[in-house]
Amino acid sequence: MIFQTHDVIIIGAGLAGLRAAIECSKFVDVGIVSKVYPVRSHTVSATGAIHISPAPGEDPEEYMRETIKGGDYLNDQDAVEIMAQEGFTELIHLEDIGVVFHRDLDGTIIRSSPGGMTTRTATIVSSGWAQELVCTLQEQLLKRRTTFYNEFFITSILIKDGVCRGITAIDIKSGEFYGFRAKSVIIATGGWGRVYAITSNSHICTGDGTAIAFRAGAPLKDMEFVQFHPTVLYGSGILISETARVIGGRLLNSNGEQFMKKYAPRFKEIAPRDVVSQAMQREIDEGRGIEGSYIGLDLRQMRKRFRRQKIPFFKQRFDAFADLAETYALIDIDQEIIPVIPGEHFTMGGIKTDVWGETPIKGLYAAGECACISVQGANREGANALTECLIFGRRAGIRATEFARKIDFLEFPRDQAESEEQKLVNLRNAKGHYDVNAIRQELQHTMWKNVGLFRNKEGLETALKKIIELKSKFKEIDIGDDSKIFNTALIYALELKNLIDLSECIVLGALNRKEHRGAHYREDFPQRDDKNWLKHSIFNYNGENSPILSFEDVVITRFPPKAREY
Amino acid sequence: MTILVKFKIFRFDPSKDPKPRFEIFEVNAEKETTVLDGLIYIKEKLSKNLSFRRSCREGACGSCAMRINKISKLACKTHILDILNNDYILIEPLDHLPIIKDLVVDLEPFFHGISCVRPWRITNYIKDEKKPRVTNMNEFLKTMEAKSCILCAACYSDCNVIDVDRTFVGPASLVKIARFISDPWDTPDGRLREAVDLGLFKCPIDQECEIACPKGIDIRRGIVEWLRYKCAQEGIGPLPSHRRLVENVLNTGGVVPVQNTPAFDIFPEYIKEFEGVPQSEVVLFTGCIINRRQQDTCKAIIEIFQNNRVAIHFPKKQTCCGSPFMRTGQRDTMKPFVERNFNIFNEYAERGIKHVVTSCSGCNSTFRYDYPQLAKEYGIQIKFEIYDIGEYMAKMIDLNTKDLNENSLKIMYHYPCHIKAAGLLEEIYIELLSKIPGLELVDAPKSGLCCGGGGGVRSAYPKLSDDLALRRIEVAKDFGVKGLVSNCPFCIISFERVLNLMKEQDEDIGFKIYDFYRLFANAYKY
Repeated sequence: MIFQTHDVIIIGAGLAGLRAAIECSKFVDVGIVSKVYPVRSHTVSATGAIHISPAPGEDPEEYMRETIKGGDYLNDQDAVEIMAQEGFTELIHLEDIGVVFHRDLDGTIIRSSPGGMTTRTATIVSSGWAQELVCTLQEQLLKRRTTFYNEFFITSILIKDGVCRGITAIDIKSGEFYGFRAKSVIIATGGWGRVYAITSNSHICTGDGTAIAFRAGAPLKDMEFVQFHPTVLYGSGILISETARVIGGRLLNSNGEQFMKKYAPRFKEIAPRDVVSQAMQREIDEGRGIEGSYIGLDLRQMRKRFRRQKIPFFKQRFDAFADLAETYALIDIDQEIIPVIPGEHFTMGGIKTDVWGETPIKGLYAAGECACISVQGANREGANALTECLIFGRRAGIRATEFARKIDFLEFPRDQAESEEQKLVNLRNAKGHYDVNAIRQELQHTMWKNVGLFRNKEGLETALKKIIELKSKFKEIDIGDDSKIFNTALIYALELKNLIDLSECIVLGALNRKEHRGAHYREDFPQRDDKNWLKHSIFNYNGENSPILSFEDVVITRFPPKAREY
Repeated sequence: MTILVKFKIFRFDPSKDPKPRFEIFEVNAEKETTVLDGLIYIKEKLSKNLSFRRSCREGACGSCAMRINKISKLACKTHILDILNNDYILIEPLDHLPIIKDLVVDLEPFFHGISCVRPWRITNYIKDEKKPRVTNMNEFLKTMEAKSCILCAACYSDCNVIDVDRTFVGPASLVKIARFISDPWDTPDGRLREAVDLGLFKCPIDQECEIACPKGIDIRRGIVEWLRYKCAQEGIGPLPSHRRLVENVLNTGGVVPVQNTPAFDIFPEYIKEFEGVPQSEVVLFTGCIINRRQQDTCKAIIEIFQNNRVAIHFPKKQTCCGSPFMRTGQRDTMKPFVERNFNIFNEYAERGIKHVVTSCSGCNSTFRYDYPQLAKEYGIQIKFEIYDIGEYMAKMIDLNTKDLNENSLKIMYHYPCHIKAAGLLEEIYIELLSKIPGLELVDAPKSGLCCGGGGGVRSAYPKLSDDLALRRIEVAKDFGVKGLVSNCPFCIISFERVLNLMKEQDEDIGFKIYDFYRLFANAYKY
């Protein structure tokens, strides 16, 4: 085992992790541990729209109200308020270090409204991809000579006497085992879209940090809330951004009807994602899907309409859609409709933290999609993901730094680290009779079929049974590669373990929550039930047994729950 | 429609294998199946210990860059059926980077190249905490283009210069430099000087990086030539040897000194040696090198046209096209060349002779791409059409093939980068050559195709230029051919120079360089 020591260890080098690192690197020594190079993080797939509230001359209250309404009142409103207040300094900071936001013809920042909202608070980065954010933040860290451990896969978080002492990880390149000693650890490992068969997420989105923190004793929150994006390409699951609908793209069923008029008379296609996705799935289920299985996204007339637009933004977006549709659906968006279906996109739940990213475990912090600060509630509004990463990434960075400066290094639990290493060696040489990939596919299809957009008791129970079966199968897997060097077969197995544990929480939460709220839709309980269910689900690890469920109140300050109509 | 496709994959686990090997797998492909889909299938079903990187699978993250049929590409953006022209699809790791395992390379040298250009904004601007700056988006167009780079390292892998000179920083780093230099909020602060030190003028503008780039960044014109232009504006570039070229032209009327009698003095102003009505009439622009050094090529061109009943007007007032200056950033010296040449062509056009043919590919791409922009700036109208001679032979006339005689050479066509830059396809020239009976043409590989003669590299870095030319010859020799045929005078000079150097060292490798037009004209003789 090789030992490394840093004041703060950050796991994950996407937007939240890098933003946290910027704060930490001002005062303490940081090490960033990531399973891919920062520029390969899943953040780069986002199209770069960020809510920065308030827009000049606009009341932040409207942004808050719509975010909370979009989240079906499960958001903790104190956290939303922070998100509404701190965005602006982020924007100034980002532009100062190299990000540029799209400007209107008069030179001011373009503000638009994403789906589900009327407030115009979303800004767009000029390259049209959030890759620009990742690159820029990483550049700042290069300038500060921050240490990056790229292509290191984290295997455990070491906790002793209720205080986080560090992590263990494996260097994917060499197969060497590492023990990282740290005063505080920030988890920023993103979502776990890969628990579903159809997802817009990258292959790497397996929720490693969340699952490992869970097993180390950190409670998870609201795991049953999984967002399905309305428009992922039929077949590949590749995302066609919400912008396609915001600028006027229509959704058509097999009769050529713009069916959203029926489900959301006022907002139509740009209603929140849960509303649109559920409507689309309903159309498909009721036999009005094109060729029985997908919905058409119609952009055929759009290019003409925007031809005279002088702002580069529209041309850029169009080219991006055209490129994706041409490459991955082999169609021409000016002539044909794009075949789309709803697919997994975002996980609202995650590691339970307060508004400073603090988990109940001392010295352990989380930010970004892997965490649940409860700003997104039961359904995330478009353009709020990057906002969350920036604002709460920064906050977690500040708090982790403060903690690290306050205490001395505690004793590193060497025995724990050594037993982790032994486990890994055993896993590398595992020659059981179950195939990792087969188990993963079985899991993904079970989740898609039974824990997707529409859920019911029977399906969820089937899924739970399956997951428990897969859990025991996992103990007898065959890795198929015992090499130490860049052993991706081993990494896929470690990821599978994380996916299984997270799936179990999702199913358990969904089975327990007997209502329809935001993205969680129980066919057997199709109404929102504020009396019994206006509360967060909390999941605690319980060894080999199923997680223990408990509940926590939602923080409501200014916006009492109302009926949700679009 | 499903087709069974063979993947031939590079395999190497340094902890187990004594040396690399290739392994063949079979994959079912439909029209939307990507190479990455194929690899994932192989990993899942056929070989669990195959290692490769992948993440977003939508062309955004750059993880899965690898060499597919010898060109570096993103596996997730490459459809199997689009590239199926062999018995198998050849999949190898990126070039120029140490191999870790199978298709995984160590990217550290690549990222080191990025971090050594100070890739962060340096600014004196004091931000206003209260409101964002007001600015015009058009000022950021170049920055936006450069920002679209996803650092996949495909360009680094396909760069010809890196292959022979590891001190060159690579295309992606130049893109990064351009990202900051073009950024109106970045204080320049010596970045251009750094770019020159890191090898800005080493690029022979062969555009193989551009072909590899999954984001379609215009690396040659938009980045390299743009940076060179900036250097010239700031007085940092071009290099002394490039300045001498301009002096040559101003003093002598051409980029190269006169050797033998120039073609201008050998041939008359109007050439029509055949009986009857010509099938067309053209204005011939030879370019400095053919005029001053390769008079035989000029003669061959005239013979080809005479055999095809094309009458030639040969204006002697034509001057250098200015390509060497455009390529080295000296855009501001172009005006006299554009004015003089275009006025001559316009005069002919007014007399009804609208077709201008160029024998030099460098001149052709300059006329086609740079002149129209410059002419617009200088207010010059364009009344004529520009053709490359090969293009003219293939597309504009009824080519006389019945008088072509047999030639049993085994040869490879060298596709000049200037012809590529002029938007002309390799197939045009291959097809012309295949009209010569008996000529055995060997298909060229997809990479390693730089003669080292372009972009001002030959005058500034002769050693680099020689290394590139030699490497290109080695590539051809690997395919069992004894000669290369090219229709670019720069290529021919470059290749002949290294062959002569080797002869001087008594290392005659029995390799010959053929001029496209001389080869073709000879076929008309017997």
